[in-house]
Amino acid sequence: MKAPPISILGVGRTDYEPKPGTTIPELVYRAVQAALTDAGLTMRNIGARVTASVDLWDGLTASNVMITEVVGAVMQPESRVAGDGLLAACHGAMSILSGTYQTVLIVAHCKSTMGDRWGITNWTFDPIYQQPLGLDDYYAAALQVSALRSSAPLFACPPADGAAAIILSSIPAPITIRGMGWALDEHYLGDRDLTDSPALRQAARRAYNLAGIIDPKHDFTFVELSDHFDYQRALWASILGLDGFPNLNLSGGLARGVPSFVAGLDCLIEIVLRLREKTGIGLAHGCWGPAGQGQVVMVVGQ
Amino acid sequence: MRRVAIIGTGQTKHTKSHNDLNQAELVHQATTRALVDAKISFRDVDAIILSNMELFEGRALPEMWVGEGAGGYLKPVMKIATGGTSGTSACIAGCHQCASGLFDIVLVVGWEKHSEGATQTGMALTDPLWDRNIASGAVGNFALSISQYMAERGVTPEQAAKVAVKARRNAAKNPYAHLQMPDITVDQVLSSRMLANPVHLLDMCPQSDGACALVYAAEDRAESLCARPAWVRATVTRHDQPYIGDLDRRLLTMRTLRDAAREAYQQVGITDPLRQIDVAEIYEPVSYAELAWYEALGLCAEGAAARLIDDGSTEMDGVLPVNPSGGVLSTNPVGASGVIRVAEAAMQVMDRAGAHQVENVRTALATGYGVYAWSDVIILSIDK
Repeated sequence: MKAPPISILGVGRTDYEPKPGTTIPELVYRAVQAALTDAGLTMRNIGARVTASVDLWDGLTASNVMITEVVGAVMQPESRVAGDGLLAACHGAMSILSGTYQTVLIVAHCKSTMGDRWGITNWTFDPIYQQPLGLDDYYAAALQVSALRSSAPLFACPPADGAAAIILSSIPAPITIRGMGWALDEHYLGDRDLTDSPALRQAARRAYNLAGIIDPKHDFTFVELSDHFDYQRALWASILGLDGFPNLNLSGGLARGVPSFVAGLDCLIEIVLRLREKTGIGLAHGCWGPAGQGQVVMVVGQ
Repeated sequence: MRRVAIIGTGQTKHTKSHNDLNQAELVHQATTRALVDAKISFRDVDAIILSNMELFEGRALPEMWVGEGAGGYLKPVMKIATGGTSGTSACIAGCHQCASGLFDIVLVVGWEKHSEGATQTGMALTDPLWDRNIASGAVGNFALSISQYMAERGVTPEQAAKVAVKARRNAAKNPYAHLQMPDITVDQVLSSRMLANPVHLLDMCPQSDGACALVYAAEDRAESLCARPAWVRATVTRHDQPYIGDLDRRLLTMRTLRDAAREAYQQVGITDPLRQIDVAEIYEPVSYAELAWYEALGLCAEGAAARLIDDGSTEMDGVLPVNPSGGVLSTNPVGASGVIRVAEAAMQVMDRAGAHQVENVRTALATGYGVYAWSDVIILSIDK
């Protein structure tokens, strides 16, 4: 990756238990404060913010509006990626690489227990052919399992509420971003080979090239994959060249209950925490949309 | 930092209802036109930024379906959404991604298809405890702030109506504009239906269906692909408080726009914006806002905005033409509106604006406005 490398100065997150009595700004506040404390910084040190959230999950138009104060964006720069938090981290890293900002706060939030979890995802499908069929992310996963000819039951990670934050900077620090990539797959499920994910292949190719990863099984020390459904862990691992890789999802993966859109950023936080204990190279992965239509990969190293 | 320039733009015709094109097709049409304008193909595009406010159409993650329209299959696609500023935020994001060194060509596409949703419902999905009851939707919350602006600045409905007239007359020369009214008069604006005192129907922007795309290229590519690219010289963002009651005299101070403009001018070396900027494409959702933005942008002293519209300073032949395209008052597909501002500013710098081209443009200003008082400021120039 072109100089200067982007370092990860701090990470923070809430727990992900369902929290009917806690507002979204409060969740975000906790994650942001934890990341600032972890980095030994104050909000004054933050040059810009990239937030990640999706309106229909919040029931708000411009779902970053209510968190302006808690991310410190009053009279300050902020942008919002409508997608997975790991994607927001990629964008934050690029805005630093562009020379515009030195230190950027990345925050993702979702209170997935507030709404009709699968019903919402029906509105992701094109309104002409697929939405009227009643498809949602659960059915898309069922189709993927069926395409994989898997006999294992379909297990979805439990719904969860929470927020996660990281602080990226051009200020040197031990853990740095080595590579990243993301891509969108074909939208129509009937046009996709659901046993594969060309989007993940493409995202990984970009990230591996930037990071100089040649033999993933050998080069990586830790890998955290977004397994929104149980079957996805093996599918993504195989596409990433990580069949049988031992240090895969040591966190327990999303089955422990991690909110949508926070998931990719949570994977990154898991990797950062492990790399602080043991030097090496880690991979964080995020995906969003039906059967993982959107894919994002980040390689970080100590 | 790598220099970045805009090398092509493309728009659909903006209209009340595009029954002929779905959202993906709208995006495809604007994208193809931008690629043709930039003389490149889908293959040359390294990354794509999309801009859309999905609850206006009642969608979730619309890039999943619409991304293909922009040629997004297996490409890095990211959707940026920040309310009304979505389009300018996406343009700033695209510029930063191109400047990062990871991508050489970045496509930005904004779209909205208001005819497929209920815009007021989307606007009402704000904070449910306080603001939903008192400030839902642009008309109501602007009426509050405009009353205060008029009282303190002494601006009259006639002066605001002149802004509305200027916009729709300019739009008549822009083939893509939605409301084209070459013969509109001040009396017509003042006698149009009252929406919320003092805002008349013709003081307000329309709800449009449309898409707009632009192509960024990094320094070397921009110079080899385009004889007269529009170089990005400044990109500044300021957000503000989430509750309308916490914004101190919103239109009177418009502190986000004031601060963002000041920083952008400083980066480019502008000390007298009225004379040093050759054309401005500003995001004015309501006639009165344009006057307030003149002050915040430092085009005049506080309280002197009405004079700029009275003496024709911001008309097509004035010292600083503002919104030759017809602006948001004539065309407002929200997710595209900010992209249109930047694209129109680029067209002026590139000398490709056709019938609404201003002569001898070297420096152009584009702004975005969103939520209650969020601002983006972008400055483009013929000079690298």
